[in-house]
Amino acid sequence: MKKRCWSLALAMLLALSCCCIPAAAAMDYGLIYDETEQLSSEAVQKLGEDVLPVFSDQLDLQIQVDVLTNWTEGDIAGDAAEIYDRFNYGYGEDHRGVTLTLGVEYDEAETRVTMSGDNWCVYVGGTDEALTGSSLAADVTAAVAPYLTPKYWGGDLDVTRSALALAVNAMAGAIRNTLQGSDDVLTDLTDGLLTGESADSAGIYVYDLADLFSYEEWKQLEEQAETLSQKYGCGIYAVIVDDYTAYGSGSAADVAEYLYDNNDLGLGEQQNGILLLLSMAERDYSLYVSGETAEYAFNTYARKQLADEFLDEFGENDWAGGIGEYITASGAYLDGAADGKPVRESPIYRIAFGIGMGCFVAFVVCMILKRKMSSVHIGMSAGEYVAAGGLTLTESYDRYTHTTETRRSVKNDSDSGSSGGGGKRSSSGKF
Amino acid sequence: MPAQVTNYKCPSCTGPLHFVGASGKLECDYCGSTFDVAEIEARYADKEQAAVQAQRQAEENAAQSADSGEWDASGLSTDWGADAQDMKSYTCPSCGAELICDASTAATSCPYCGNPTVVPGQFSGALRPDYVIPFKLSKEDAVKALKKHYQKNPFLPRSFTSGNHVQEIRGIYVPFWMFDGEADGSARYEATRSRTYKRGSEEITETEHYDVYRAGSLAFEKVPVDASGKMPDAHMDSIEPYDYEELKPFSTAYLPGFLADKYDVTVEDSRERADTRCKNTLGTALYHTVQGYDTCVPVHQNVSLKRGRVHYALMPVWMLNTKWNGREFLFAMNGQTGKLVGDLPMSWGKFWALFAAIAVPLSTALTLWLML
Repeated sequence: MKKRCWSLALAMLLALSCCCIPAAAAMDYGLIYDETEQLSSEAVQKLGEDVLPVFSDQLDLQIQVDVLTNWTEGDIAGDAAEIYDRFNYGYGEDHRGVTLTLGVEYDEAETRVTMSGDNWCVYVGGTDEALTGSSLAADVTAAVAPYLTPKYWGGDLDVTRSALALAVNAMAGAIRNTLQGSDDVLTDLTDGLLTGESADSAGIYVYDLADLFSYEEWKQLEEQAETLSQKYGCGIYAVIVDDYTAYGSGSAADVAEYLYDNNDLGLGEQQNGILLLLSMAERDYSLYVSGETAEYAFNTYARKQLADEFLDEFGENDWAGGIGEYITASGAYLDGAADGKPVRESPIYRIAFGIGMGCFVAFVVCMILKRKMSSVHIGMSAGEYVAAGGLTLTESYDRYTHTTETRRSVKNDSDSGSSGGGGKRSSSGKF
Repeated sequence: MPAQVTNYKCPSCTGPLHFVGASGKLECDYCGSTFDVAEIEARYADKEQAAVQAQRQAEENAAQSADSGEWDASGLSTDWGADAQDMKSYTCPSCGAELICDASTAATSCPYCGNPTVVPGQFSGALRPDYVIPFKLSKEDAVKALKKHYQKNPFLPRSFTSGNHVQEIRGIYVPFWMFDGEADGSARYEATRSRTYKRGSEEITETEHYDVYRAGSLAFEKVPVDASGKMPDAHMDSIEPYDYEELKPFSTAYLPGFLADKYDVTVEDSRERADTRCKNTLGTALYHTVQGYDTCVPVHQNVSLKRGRVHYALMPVWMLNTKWNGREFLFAMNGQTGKLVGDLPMSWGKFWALFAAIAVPLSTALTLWLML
C-alpha cells in the first residue's frame, strides 16, 4: 500500500515538474528507479515489485534503489541525500528508509551501461537514531559491493542486469539479517529473495574484486563456469579479493562460508556449489563446498586433489590460468560424480598401512615375549655395589657454544569438518 | 694317620650331618638332631687342623715317592696327561673308599656311603675364604622355581615341560672374588636444546649447542666376580645380587650337604671383569647428571680405577641340568634369594601362531577404522 502511495506521489511530482524542467526518462520497477531504462530483467522486476515492497512494509522502512544517469561527479552520497529529502523518502514520522544510489553512464550507441569507480553509495535516511546509528549502512555496503565492481558494469548488458539484480538481492538480505534480530516477526522474511530458478538464471560465477583479469579473460572464465555449473546443477564459483579480512571476521574458510551464504550462492534447492576464495594480501585460499551434490563430488580428499591441480598456476602468478584450471577440474570432478565415480583416495594405501601397523605391533609384542626367554647375560654394570654416598661430582660445567637454524617450507593446509548440520565442508591453505 | 678330609658326624648317632639353609643349622640325616654351626665348628676344629696338615703331608709324600719308587712300576703308566694336574684323591674316613675329585673340590659327598665330605685343606691359610653366604633355599625350592620359570612363557614347546627331566640338581658353594675400589673419571658431551615455531609459510627450528663436562668419582664395595672356571660367568652374573647383610665369617660347618670349590681363577684374571663393570657404572652415573637437554651425545670419556681390598667368599648356587631333544639346558638359582636364570628353547610355531593371532584382528580393526 505504501509502495503504491509513494510511486504515485513520485509520478505526480515528476508530472508537475515536467512543465518546468525537462524530466529525464526513467522507468520504475516497483521500488527500483532506473533512468537508463535498460536494466529491466525478470529478476529485477521481481525484486522491485515484490520483494522490496514486502520488506519495506514489514520493516516499516522504505528500501529504494535509484539508478541515475545525472549525478554529481565525486559526490554521489550528496546526491543520494538530496534525493532522499527532495522526494520525501522514508516511512512514518521518522522517514525511515535506506537507499542504494548508483551513478551510471548510458551509452545509447553502444547499448552499454557503465559505472566507474565508487559511483554508488548506501544511504540510511530519516530521524530514527536507532536506525541511522546502527550498522545497517555498513552491512548493506559490504553485501552489495561485490556486484558493483566496474567489471560487471562496463560491458555486457546482461551481465550488468544480473549484477543489479544480485546487488538488490544482497541489499534485501543484508537488511533482513541486520534488522531481524530485533523483531521476531521478521525471522521468516525469506520469501521473494532470489532463490531457485530465479537465482540460477541471474548468476555470476567469477567475482574478480581484486581486478586481476582483463574483461576478455573474465568473460571467458565466466562463460566456462556458467556452462559447467548449469550442466551439473552445481555452481562453480571463484571470488578473488585483495584481502579477505575486509569481508568478514575469522579465517579465510569462515569468510568463504560467509560470502557463500550471505550472497545466496549455489544452484538448486540445496544451494549446491563450490566456491574458491583467493585473498591476494597473504596469498590465502579457501575451498568451500555446500549441498549434497557438491559434497559428494568434493570430499576432503577430492578438495586436496583439486587444489593440487590449480595451485601450481597460482604459484607462478598465472591467475587466469589457475582459475581456468580450477573450473575445468571442478567440471571433471562433477562429471565423475555424476557417473557414480567421484574422486576418491585409493584404499590400497589405507589397507597397506592398516596391515603394516598390525603386523608391526604384533611383531613387537612377540619379540618382547621372546626376550623374556633369554634370562642369562654377562653383567655390564655394578650399580648395586655402589657405596653409600653415590656419585661425587668434582667438576661440572655446561657451556653454550652456538645456535643453528633450519628452515622448512610448509604448506599451511587445514581442513575443517562439518559446520552445523548442513553437511558443508571447507579446505584452506596458502598459494 | 689323620684323614685329609672331614666327615661331619652327628654327635648323637654318628650319622652324616648336612647344613639346612632354612633353619641355618646342621641336621642329622638319621636321627634328625639339629646343631648350631658354632657348636659343630668348635667340636671339629682339631680334626680340621689335622686334616689340613695331613693334606700337606700327602702332597709332600707324593712328590718324594715319585723320586724314590720302591716298587718296580716301570710297566705302569703314571701319565694321566693333562687330567693329572686337575685331579686329587682322598680316602673317605667313613667307609675307606678312595675319592678322586677335582683339584679345586673343597666339599663333596662320598659316592659309596653318601657321607658329606669336606676337604678343609682347600680352605687353609691364604686360601681360606673371608665370607660365606649360607644356603637359604633347599633343593625342593630349586625344583619349584624351575617349574615356575617354565610358566608364562608362551613360546616354550609343550613337550619341553612334559618331557623335560631334571637330570641333576647340585647345591654348590661357588667361590667369588669381591672387589672394593673407586672409579674416578670424566666425560665430555655435546648436548642440544631445540625449539620449533612457524613464521608465515616456513617452519623454523632453532638448536642451541652446548659443551658439557662432568667429572666425579664413585666408590664400590664387594663387586662380585666368580672365581671358578667351571661356572659359566653369564649364569653367575645373572643371578646377582646377593644380600650382603647375610654374609657370615667363613666356616666349613656350612658346607656339609653341598658341593664346594676353591677358586681356580686368580684375582688378576678376574679383575678385568670387575673393572669393566665399575667403569660402565661411573660412565652411566655421569651421563645421568646431564639434564634438561633434548639430545646428549658422549664425545669423550676417561676413567681410572683405584684398587681397594679383595675379599674371597663362597656364594650359594643351585645348578640344575636338564636335557630335551638331545640338548642340554643349564639353569642356575641364587641359593639365597631364589632368582633363577637359564635360557629356554623356543617353539617358532608358537611364535608365528601368536604373531598371527595378534596381527590378523589388529590389522583388520585398523584397516576398517581407516576406511571409515
